[in-house]
Amino acid sequence: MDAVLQVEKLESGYGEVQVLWGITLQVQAGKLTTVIGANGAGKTTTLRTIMGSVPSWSGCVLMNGEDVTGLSTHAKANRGLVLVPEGRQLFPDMSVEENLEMGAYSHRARKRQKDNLERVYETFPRLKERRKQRSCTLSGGEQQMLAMGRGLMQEPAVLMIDELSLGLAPVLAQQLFLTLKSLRKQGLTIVLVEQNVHLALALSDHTYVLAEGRVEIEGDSREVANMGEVRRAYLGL
Amino acid sequence: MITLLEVSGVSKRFGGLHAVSDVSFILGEREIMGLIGPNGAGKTTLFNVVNGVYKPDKGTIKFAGEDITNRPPHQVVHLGLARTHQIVKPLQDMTVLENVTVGACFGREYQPLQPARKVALEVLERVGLAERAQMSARSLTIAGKKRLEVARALAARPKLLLLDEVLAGLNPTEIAHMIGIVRGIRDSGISVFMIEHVMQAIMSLSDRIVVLSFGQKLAEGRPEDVARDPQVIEAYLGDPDIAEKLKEKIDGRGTTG
Repeated sequence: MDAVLQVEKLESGYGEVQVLWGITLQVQAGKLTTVIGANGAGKTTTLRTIMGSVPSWSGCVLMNGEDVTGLSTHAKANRGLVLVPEGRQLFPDMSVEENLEMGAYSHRARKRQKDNLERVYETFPRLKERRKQRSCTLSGGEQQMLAMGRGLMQEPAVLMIDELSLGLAPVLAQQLFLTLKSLRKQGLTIVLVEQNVHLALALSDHTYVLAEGRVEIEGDSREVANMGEVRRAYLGL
Repeated sequence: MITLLEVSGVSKRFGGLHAVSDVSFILGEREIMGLIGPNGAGKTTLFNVVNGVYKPDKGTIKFAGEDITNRPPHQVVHLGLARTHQIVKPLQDMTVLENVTVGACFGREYQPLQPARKVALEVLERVGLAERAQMSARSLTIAGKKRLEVARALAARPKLLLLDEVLAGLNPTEIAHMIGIVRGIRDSGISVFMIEHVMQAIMSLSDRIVVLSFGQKLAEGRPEDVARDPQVIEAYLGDPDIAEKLKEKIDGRGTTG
Protein backbone atom coordinates (compact mmCIF):
# COMPACT_ATOMS: atom_id res chain seq x y z
CA MET A 1 0.00 0.00 0.00
CA ASP A 2 1.04 3.57 -0.62
CA ALA A 3 1.63 5.68 2.43
CA VAL A 4 1.33 9.31 1.32
CA LEU A 5 2.22 10.48 4.78
CA GLN A 6 4.33 8.66 7.33
CA VAL A 7 5.07 9.85 10.80
CA GLU A 8 7.76 8.09 12.76
CA LYS A 9 8.39 8.35 16.49
CA LEU A 10 7.41 11.99 16.55
CA GLU A 11 8.06 13.86 19.79
CA SER A 12 7.20 17.46 20.57
CA GLY A 13 5.65 19.79 23.12
CA TYR A 14 5.36 23.35 24.31
CA GLY A 15 8.18 24.99 26.27
CA GLU A 16 9.36 22.41 28.78
CA VAL A 17 6.20 20.34 28.60
CA GLN A 18 6.44 17.30 26.38
CA VAL A 19 3.12 16.34 24.79
CA LEU A 20 4.00 13.76 22.13
CA TRP A 21 6.05 10.78 23.26
CA GLY A 22 6.75 9.02 19.99
CA ILE A 23 3.78 9.05 17.62
CA THR A 24 3.95 6.74 14.61
CA LEU A 25 1.26 6.96 11.92
CA GLN A 26 0.79 5.79 8.35
CA VAL A 27 -1.68 7.59 6.12
CA GLN A 28 -2.64 5.57 3.03
CA ALA A 29 -3.50 7.26 -0.26
CA GLY A 30 -7.18 7.80 -0.85
CA LYS A 31 -8.16 6.74 2.66
CA LEU A 32 -9.81 8.54 5.52
CA THR A 33 -7.69 8.19 8.64
CA THR A 34 -8.99 9.44 11.96
CA VAL A 35 -7.06 10.36 15.07
CA ILE A 36 -9.11 10.22 18.24
CA GLY A 37 -8.34 10.37 21.95
CA ALA A 38 -9.32 12.14 25.16
CA ASN A 39 -8.46 15.73 26.08
CA GLY A 40 -4.77 16.34 26.21
CA ALA A 41 -3.97 13.12 24.36
CA GLY A 42 -2.01 15.10 21.77
CA LYS A 43 -4.29 15.06 18.72
CA THR A 44 -3.99 18.72 17.79
CA THR A 45 -0.31 18.73 18.68
CA THR A 46 0.21 15.78 16.34
CA LEU A 47 -1.29 17.69 13.41
CA ARG A 48 0.62 20.86 14.29
CA THR A 49 3.89 18.98 14.57
CA ILE A 50 3.34 17.20 11.26
CA MET A 51 2.66 20.61 9.71
CA GLY A 52 5.64 22.16 11.51
CA SER A 53 3.82 24.98 13.25
CA VAL A 54 4.94 23.23 16.43
CA PRO A 55 8.57 22.20 15.96
CA SER A 56 9.37 18.52 16.38
CA TRP A 57 11.88 17.52 19.07
CA SER A 58 12.68 14.23 17.40
CA GLY A 59 11.26 11.74 14.94
CA CYS A 60 10.37 12.38 11.34
CA VAL A 61 7.62 13.15 8.85
CA LEU A 62 7.78 11.61 5.38
CA MET A 63 5.72 12.53 2.36
CA ASN A 64 5.73 9.87 -0.35
CA GLY A 65 8.82 8.44 1.29
CA GLU A 66 10.72 11.71 1.33
CA ASP A 67 11.81 13.24 4.62
CA VAL A 68 10.13 16.64 4.98
CA THR A 69 10.58 17.02 8.74
CA GLY A 70 12.89 19.99 8.47
CA LEU A 71 10.93 21.86 5.82
CA SER A 72 9.16 25.08 6.72
CA THR A 73 5.41 25.04 7.10
CA HIS A 74 4.85 26.87 3.83
CA ALA A 75 7.20 24.53 1.99
CA LYS A 76 5.15 21.59 3.26
CA ALA A 77 1.97 23.36 2.21
CA ASN A 78 3.50 23.80 -1.21
CA ARG A 79 3.86 20.02 -1.41
CA GLY A 80 0.21 19.58 -0.67
CA LEU A 81 0.22 19.04 3.08
CA VAL A 82 -2.78 21.08 4.17
CA LEU A 83 -4.19 21.73 7.63
CA VAL A 84 -7.71 22.97 8.35
CA PRO A 85 -6.99 24.23 11.84
CA GLU A 86 -9.05 23.92 14.99
CA GLY A 87 -11.23 27.01 15.41
CA ARG A 88 -11.11 27.56 11.63
CA GLN A 89 -8.78 30.59 11.73
CA LEU A 90 -10.49 32.45 8.90
CA PHE A 91 -9.71 36.00 7.89
CA PRO A 92 -12.76 37.60 9.52
CA ASP A 93 -12.88 40.82 7.51
CA MET A 94 -12.28 39.21 4.16
CA SER A 95 -15.14 37.98 2.02
CA VAL A 96 -15.82 34.29 1.54
CA GLU A 97 -14.23 34.39 -1.89
CA GLU A 98 -11.17 36.27 -0.66
CA ASN A 99 -10.67 33.67 2.05
CA LEU A 100 -10.80 30.98 -0.61
CA GLU A 101 -8.31 32.86 -2.76
CA MET A 102 -5.93 32.94 0.21
CA GLY A 103 -6.04 29.16 0.15
CA ALA A 104 -4.69 29.23 -3.39
CA TYR A 105 -1.82 31.54 -2.51
CA SER A 106 0.82 28.84 -2.65
CA HIS A 107 2.77 28.35 -5.84
CA ARG A 108 1.31 24.86 -6.06
CA ALA A 109 -2.28 25.98 -6.41
CA ARG A 110 -2.14 29.43 -7.97
CA LYS A 111 -2.34 28.30 -11.57
CA ARG A 112 -5.53 26.35 -11.21
CA GLN A 113 -7.20 28.77 -8.83
CA LYS A 114 -10.23 29.35 -11.06
CA ASP A 115 -11.01 25.67 -11.59
CA ASN A 116 -10.53 24.93 -7.95
CA LEU A 117 -12.81 27.75 -6.95
CA GLU A 118 -15.53 26.28 -9.15
CA ARG A 119 -14.98 22.90 -7.60
CA VAL A 120 -15.22 24.28 -4.06
CA TYR A 121 -18.45 26.08 -4.97
CA GLU A 122 -19.83 22.82 -6.36
CA THR A 123 -18.93 21.04 -3.15
CA PHE A 124 -20.33 23.82 -0.96
CA PRO A 125 -23.09 25.66 -2.87
CA ARG A 126 -23.79 27.67 0.28
CA LEU A 127 -20.38 29.32 -0.04
CA LYS A 128 -21.19 30.43 -3.56
CA GLU A 129 -24.41 32.05 -2.33
CA ARG A 130 -22.40 33.95 0.25
CA ARG A 131 -19.27 34.65 -1.74
CA LYS A 132 -19.36 38.42 -1.21
CA GLN A 133 -20.16 38.22 2.47
CA ARG A 134 -17.51 38.87 5.12
CA SER A 135 -16.53 35.57 6.72
CA CYS A 136 -17.21 36.79 10.24
CA THR A 137 -20.91 37.07 9.37
CA LEU A 138 -21.19 33.36 8.53
CA SER A 139 -22.77 30.77 10.82
CA GLY A 140 -20.53 28.24 12.55
CA GLY A 141 -21.33 25.54 10.03
CA GLU A 142 -20.68 27.86 7.09
CA GLN A 143 -17.39 28.93 8.61
CA GLN A 144 -16.35 25.31 8.86
CA MET A 145 -17.29 24.84 5.19
CA LEU A 146 -15.18 27.86 4.33
CA ALA A 147 -12.22 26.56 6.29
CA MET A 148 -12.49 23.26 4.43
CA GLY A 149 -12.97 25.07 1.13
CA ARG A 150 -9.86 27.16 1.76
CA GLY A 151 -7.96 23.94 2.40
CA LEU A 152 -9.26 22.41 -0.81
CA MET A 153 -8.14 25.48 -2.78
CA GLN A 154 -4.60 24.40 -2.00
CA GLU A 155 -4.99 21.15 -3.94
CA PRO A 156 -4.16 18.98 -0.97
CA ALA A 157 -2.24 15.76 -1.32
CA VAL A 158 -3.27 15.20 2.28
CA LEU A 159 -6.05 17.23 3.86
CA MET A 160 -5.74 17.29 7.66
CA ILE A 161 -8.81 18.54 9.52
CA ASP A 162 -8.73 19.39 13.21
CA GLU A 163 -12.14 19.01 14.89
CA LEU A 164 -14.72 19.06 12.15
CA SER A 165 -17.84 18.78 14.29
CA LEU A 166 -16.81 20.78 17.36
CA GLY A 167 -19.54 23.18 18.38
CA LEU A 168 -21.78 22.38 15.41
CA ALA A 169 -25.41 21.27 15.57
CA PRO A 170 -25.77 17.54 14.79
CA VAL A 171 -27.51 18.18 11.47
CA LEU A 172 -24.69 20.44 10.27
CA ALA A 173 -22.06 18.03 11.49
CA GLN A 174 -23.76 15.25 9.54
CA GLN A 175 -23.80 17.35 6.41
CA LEU A 176 -20.09 18.06 6.68
CA PHE A 177 -19.34 14.40 7.26
CA LEU A 178 -21.30 13.44 4.16
CA THR A 179 -19.24 15.96 2.21
CA LEU A 180 -16.09 14.46 3.66
CA LYS A 181 -17.24 11.02 2.65
CA SER A 182 -17.81 12.17 -0.93
CA LEU A 183 -14.42 13.91 -1.07
CA ARG A 184 -12.87 10.64 0.06
CA LYS A 185 -14.77 8.85 -2.73
CA GLN A 186 -13.25 11.27 -5.20
CA GLY A 187 -9.86 10.03 -4.07
CA LEU A 188 -8.79 12.66 -1.56
CA THR A 189 -6.51 11.51 1.27
CA ILE A 190 -7.88 12.81 4.56
CA VAL A 191 -6.64 12.86 8.15
CA LEU A 192 -9.35 13.81 10.60
CA VAL A 193 -9.15 14.66 14.27
CA GLU A 194 -12.61 14.18 15.70
CA GLN A 195 -13.97 14.30 19.22
CA ASN A 196 -17.05 12.17 18.60
CA VAL A 197 -15.58 8.68 18.65
CA HIS A 198 -18.66 7.05 17.15
CA LEU A 199 -18.66 9.41 14.18
CA ALA A 200 -14.94 8.93 13.64
CA LEU A 201 -15.17 5.15 13.68
CA ALA A 202 -18.30 5.03 11.52
CA LEU A 203 -16.80 7.22 8.86
CA SER A 204 -13.15 6.37 8.56
CA ASP A 205 -11.07 3.58 7.06
CA HIS A 206 -8.32 3.56 9.64
CA THR A 207 -8.20 4.80 13.21
CA TYR A 208 -5.50 5.79 15.65
CA VAL A 209 -6.47 6.21 19.30
CA LEU A 210 -4.07 8.42 21.23
CA ALA A 211 -3.69 8.53 24.99
CA GLU A 212 -1.20 10.68 26.84
CA GLY A 213 0.85 11.45 23.77
CA ARG A 214 1.19 7.89 22.51
CA VAL A 215 -0.66 5.66 20.06
CA GLU A 216 -2.69 3.40 22.31
CA ILE A 217 -4.73 1.55 19.69
CA GLU A 218 -4.44 1.40 15.92
CA GLY A 219 -6.32 -0.47 13.26
CA ASP A 220 -9.06 -0.80 10.69
CA SER A 221 -11.87 1.40 11.97
CA ARG A 222 -14.43 -1.42 11.97
CA GLU A 223 -12.16 -3.57 14.09
CA VAL A 224 -11.33 -0.76 16.47
CA ALA A 225 -15.07 -0.05 16.85
CA ASN A 226 -15.60 -3.62 18.03
CA MET A 227 -12.68 -3.80 20.40
CA GLY A 228 -14.13 -2.17 23.48
CA GLU A 229 -10.63 -1.02 24.28
CA VAL A 230 -11.40 2.50 23.19
CA ARG A 231 -13.24 3.25 26.40
CA ARG A 232 -10.19 2.18 28.34
CA ALA A 233 -7.95 4.49 26.35
CA TYR A 234 -10.26 7.35 27.30
CA LEU A 235 -11.16 6.43 30.87
CA GLY A 236 -8.16 4.45 32.03
CA LEU A 237 -10.22 1.48 33.24
CA MET B 1 -16.22 7.97 57.00
CA ILE B 2 -15.75 11.25 58.85
CA THR B 3 -16.80 14.18 56.68
CA LEU B 4 -14.13 16.77 56.05
CA LEU B 5 -15.57 18.73 53.12
CA GLU B 6 -19.23 19.11 52.33
CA VAL B 7 -20.23 20.85 49.11
CA SER B 8 -23.99 21.40 48.86
CA GLY B 9 -25.89 22.67 45.82
CA VAL B 10 -23.04 24.87 44.60
CA SER B 11 -23.53 26.91 41.41
CA LYS B 12 -21.25 29.43 39.74
CA ARG B 13 -22.13 31.43 36.67
CA PHE B 14 -20.05 33.69 34.47
CA GLY B 15 -22.58 35.82 32.58
CA GLY B 16 -24.71 33.32 30.70
CA LEU B 17 -22.30 30.44 31.20
CA HIS B 18 -23.22 27.99 33.96
CA ALA B 19 -19.69 26.91 34.83
CA VAL B 20 -20.83 24.88 37.85
CA SER B 21 -24.50 23.92 38.36
CA ASP B 22 -25.94 22.57 41.58
CA VAL B 23 -23.00 20.34 42.50
CA SER B 24 -23.06 18.43 45.80
CA PHE B 25 -20.69 15.87 47.27
CA ILE B 26 -18.95 14.88 50.48
CA LEU B 27 -15.25 14.18 50.93
CA GLY B 28 -14.07 12.21 53.92
CA GLU B 29 -10.98 12.29 56.08
CA ARG B 30 -8.01 10.41 54.60
CA GLU B 31 -9.81 10.06 51.31
CA ILE B 32 -8.42 10.58 47.82
CA MET B 33 -11.16 11.91 45.58
CA GLY B 34 -10.61 12.38 41.86
CA LEU B 35 -12.36 15.08 39.84
CA ILE B 36 -12.56 14.34 36.13
CA GLY B 37 -14.52 15.59 33.13
CA PRO B 38 -14.04 16.75 29.54
CA ASN B 39 -12.44 20.13 28.84
CA GLY B 40 -14.60 22.99 29.99
CA ALA B 41 -16.54 20.79 32.41
CA GLY B 42 -15.98 23.24 35.28
CA LYS B 43 -13.37 21.35 37.27
CA THR B 44 -11.01 24.23 38.00
CA THR B 45 -13.97 26.54 38.63
CA LEU B 46 -15.21 24.10 41.26
CA PHE B 47 -11.75 24.17 42.88
CA ASN B 48 -11.83 27.95 42.85
CA VAL B 49 -15.21 27.97 44.53
CA VAL B 50 -14.15 25.43 47.15
CA ASN B 51 -11.04 27.34 48.23
CA GLY B 52 -12.69 30.74 48.07
CA VAL B 53 -11.18 32.28 44.93
CA TYR B 54 -14.79 32.66 43.67
CA LYS B 55 -17.90 33.10 45.72
CA PRO B 56 -20.59 30.68 44.59
CA ASP B 57 -23.89 32.15 43.34
CA LYS B 58 -25.72 29.43 45.23
CA GLY B 59 -24.95 26.68 47.68
CA THR B 60 -22.69 26.22 50.67
CA ILE B 61 -19.27 24.79 51.42
CA LYS B 62 -18.49 23.36 54.82
CA PHE B 63 -14.97 22.42 55.80
CA ALA B 64 -14.07 20.68 59.07
CA GLY B 65 -17.46 21.62 60.47
CA GLU B 66 -17.23 25.32 59.57
CA ASP B 67 -19.13 27.20 56.89
CA ILE B 68 -16.43 28.61 54.58
CA THR B 69 -18.77 29.60 51.72
CA ASN B 70 -17.78 33.25 51.52
CA ARG B 71 -14.31 33.14 53.00
CA PRO B 72 -11.32 34.19 50.90
CA PRO B 73 -8.45 31.74 50.22
CA HIS B 74 -6.06 33.23 52.78
CA GLN B 75 -8.59 32.54 55.55
CA VAL B 76 -9.52 29.11 54.20
CA VAL B 77 -5.87 28.07 54.31
CA HIS B 78 -5.76 28.85 58.05
CA LEU B 79 -8.47 26.23 58.51
CA GLY B 80 -6.32 23.67 56.71
CA LEU B 81 -7.37 23.79 53.07
CA ALA B 82 -4.48 24.33 50.62
CA ARG B 83 -4.17 23.91 46.88
CA THR B 84 -1.85 23.79 43.89
CA HIS B 85 -2.40 25.45 40.53
CA GLN B 86 -2.43 23.95 37.08
CA ILE B 87 0.03 26.52 35.76
CA VAL B 88 2.85 26.50 38.25
CA LYS B 89 4.20 29.91 39.18
CA PRO B 90 7.07 29.57 41.62
CA LEU B 91 8.88 32.66 42.83
CA GLN B 92 11.53 32.17 40.16
CA ASP B 93 14.48 33.99 41.68
CA MET B 94 14.08 32.53 45.16
CA THR B 95 15.50 29.16 46.09
CA VAL B 96 13.41 26.03 46.29
CA LEU B 97 13.64 26.17 50.07
CA GLU B 98 12.59 29.83 50.21
CA ASN B 99 9.57 29.10 48.02
CA VAL B 100 8.39 26.38 50.36
CA THR B 101 9.19 28.48 53.41
CA VAL B 102 6.77 31.12 52.12
CA GLY B 103 4.09 28.43 52.04
CA ALA B 104 4.87 27.48 55.61
CA CYS B 105 4.85 31.11 56.83
CA PHE B 106 1.33 31.74 55.57
CA GLY B 107 -0.25 28.33 56.09
CA ARG B 108 -2.50 26.90 58.78
CA GLU B 109 -0.88 29.32 61.23
CA TYR B 110 1.45 32.28 60.67
CA GLN B 111 4.94 31.07 61.44
CA PRO B 112 8.15 33.00 61.95
CA LEU B 113 10.98 32.22 59.54
CA GLN B 114 12.92 29.72 61.66
CA PRO B 115 10.14 27.23 62.36
CA ALA B 116 8.77 27.80 58.84
CA ARG B 117 12.10 26.80 57.38
CA LYS B 118 12.07 23.66 59.47
CA VAL B 119 8.64 22.72 58.12
CA ALA B 120 9.83 23.51 54.59
CA LEU B 121 12.83 21.18 54.92
CA GLU B 122 10.63 18.34 56.11
CA VAL B 123 8.24 18.86 53.22
CA LEU B 124 11.06 18.99 50.66
CA GLU B 125 12.21 15.64 51.98
CA ARG B 126 8.73 14.21 51.41
CA VAL B 127 8.52 15.33 47.79
CA GLY B 128 12.09 14.38 46.98
CA LEU B 129 13.43 17.90 46.49
CA ALA B 130 15.68 18.09 49.57
CA GLU B 131 18.83 17.88 47.48
CA ARG B 132 17.71 20.82 45.39
CA ALA B 133 16.74 23.05 48.32
CA GLN B 134 19.36 25.68 47.51
CA MET B 135 18.78 25.81 43.76
CA SER B 136 16.77 28.65 42.29
CA ALA B 137 13.19 27.66 41.47
CA ARG B 138 13.80 28.79 37.89
CA SER B 139 16.38 26.07 37.35
CA LEU B 140 14.01 23.19 38.13
CA THR B 141 12.62 21.00 35.33
CA ILE B 142 8.86 20.95 34.83
CA ALA B 143 8.62 17.82 36.98
CA GLY B 144 10.63 19.58 39.69
CA LYS B 145 8.38 22.64 39.49
CA LYS B 146 5.29 20.46 39.85
CA ARG B 147 6.79 18.90 42.99
CA LEU B 148 7.68 22.34 44.28
CA GLU B 149 4.06 23.39 43.77
CA VAL B 150 2.90 20.43 45.86
CA ALA B 151 5.56 21.17 48.50
CA ARG B 152 4.47 24.79 48.81
CA ALA B 153 0.89 23.73 49.46
CA LEU B 154 1.96 20.94 51.83
CA ALA B 155 4.02 23.40 53.85
CA ALA B 156 0.75 25.08 54.80
CA ARG B 157 0.12 21.89 56.85
CA PRO B 158 -3.33 21.28 55.35
CA LYS B 159 -5.98 18.76 56.33
CA LEU B 160 -7.18 18.81 52.73
CA LEU B 161 -5.02 19.36 49.67
CA LEU B 162 -6.50 20.30 46.29
CA LEU B 163 -4.24 19.21 43.42
CA ASP B 164 -4.92 20.69 39.97
CA GLU B 165 -3.32 18.52 37.28
CA VAL B 166 -0.05 17.76 39.03
CA LEU B 167 0.67 14.95 36.55
CA ALA B 168 0.24 16.99 33.36
CA GLY B 169 3.37 17.14 31.23
CA LEU B 170 5.27 14.51 33.23
CA ASN B 171 6.87 11.42 31.71
CA PRO B 172 5.92 7.94 32.98
CA THR B 173 8.76 7.77 35.51
CA GLU B 174 7.90 11.19 36.89
CA ILE B 175 4.20 10.26 36.99
CA ALA B 176 5.00 7.14 39.01
CA HIS B 177 7.08 9.26 41.40
CA MET B 178 4.29 11.81 41.85
CA ILE B 179 1.72 9.04 42.44
CA GLY B 180 3.95 7.82 45.25
CA ILE B 181 4.09 11.33 46.70
CA VAL B 182 0.29 11.67 46.62
CA ARG B 183 -0.17 8.27 48.31
CA GLY B 184 2.34 9.32 50.95
CA ILE B 185 0.39 12.53 51.57
CA ARG B 186 -2.78 10.57 52.18
CA ASP B 187 -0.97 8.06 54.40
CA SER B 188 0.18 10.95 56.56
CA GLY B 189 -3.50 11.70 57.25
CA ILE B 190 -4.22 14.42 54.69
CA SER B 191 -7.23 14.18 52.37
CA VAL B 192 -6.67 14.81 48.68
CA PHE B 193 -9.06 16.20 46.08
CA MET B 194 -7.44 16.09 42.66
CA ILE B 195 -8.21 17.12 39.08
CA GLU B 196 -6.44 14.93 36.57
CA HIS B 197 -6.50 14.03 32.88
CA VAL B 198 -4.00 11.19 33.15
CA MET B 199 -6.76 8.63 33.46
CA GLN B 200 -4.90 5.48 34.42
CA ALA B 201 -3.25 7.36 37.25
CA ILE B 202 -6.39 9.00 38.62
CA MET B 203 -8.35 5.77 38.37
CA SER B 204 -5.76 3.82 40.33
CA LEU B 205 -5.12 6.58 42.91
CA SER B 206 -8.66 7.61 43.80
CA ASP B 207 -10.92 6.00 46.38
CA ARG B 208 -13.84 7.73 44.71
CA ILE B 209 -14.33 9.88 41.62
CA VAL B 210 -16.64 12.78 40.83
CA VAL B 211 -17.35 13.36 37.13
CA LEU B 212 -18.35 16.81 35.89
CA SER B 213 -19.72 17.57 32.45
CA PHE B 214 -21.00 20.98 31.38
CA GLY B 215 -20.85 22.08 35.01
CA GLN B 216 -23.07 19.31 36.34
CA LYS B 217 -22.19 16.29 38.39
CA LEU B 218 -22.62 13.39 36.02
CA ALA B 219 -21.53 10.60 38.32
CA GLU B 220 -19.85 9.86 41.63
CA GLY B 221 -18.49 6.58 42.88
CA ARG B 222 -15.70 4.07 42.81
CA PRO B 223 -13.39 4.31 39.78
CA GLU B 224 -14.45 0.93 38.36
CA ASP B 225 -18.13 1.92 38.51
CA VAL B 226 -17.62 5.41 37.12
CA ALA B 227 -15.63 4.09 34.14
CA ARG B 228 -18.56 1.84 33.20
CA ASP B 229 -21.27 4.45 33.66
CA PRO B 230 -22.98 4.95 30.26
CA GLN B 231 -23.40 8.68 30.85
CA VAL B 232 -19.72 9.08 31.63
CA ILE B 233 -18.73 7.07 28.58
CA GLU B 234 -20.95 9.26 26.40
CA ALA B 235 -19.47 12.44 27.88
CA TYR B 236 -16.02 11.26 26.83
CA LEU B 237 -16.69 9.38 23.61
CA GLY B 238 -19.54 11.48 22.23
CA ASP B 239 -23.17 10.87 21.34
CA PRO B 240 -23.62 7.55 19.50
CA ASP B 241 -26.94 8.67 17.94
CA ILE B 242 -25.31 11.14 15.55
CA ALA B 243 -23.16 8.37 14.14
CA GLU B 244 -26.13 6.01 13.81
CA LYS B 245 -28.15 8.62 11.92
CA LEU B 246 -25.22 9.35 9.68
CA LYS B 247 -24.78 5.67 8.89
CA GLU B 248 -28.47 5.42 7.98
CA LYS B 249 -28.10 8.40 5.67
CA ILE B 250 -25.04 6.98 4.00
CA ASP B 251 -26.68 3.57 3.58
CA GLY B 252 -29.86 5.21 2.32
CA ARG B 253 -27.94 7.03 -0.37
CA GLY B 254 -26.07 3.90 -1.31
CA THR B 255 -22.72 5.58 -0.98
CA THR B 256 -21.09 3.20 1.46
CA GLY B 257 -17.55 2.04 1.03
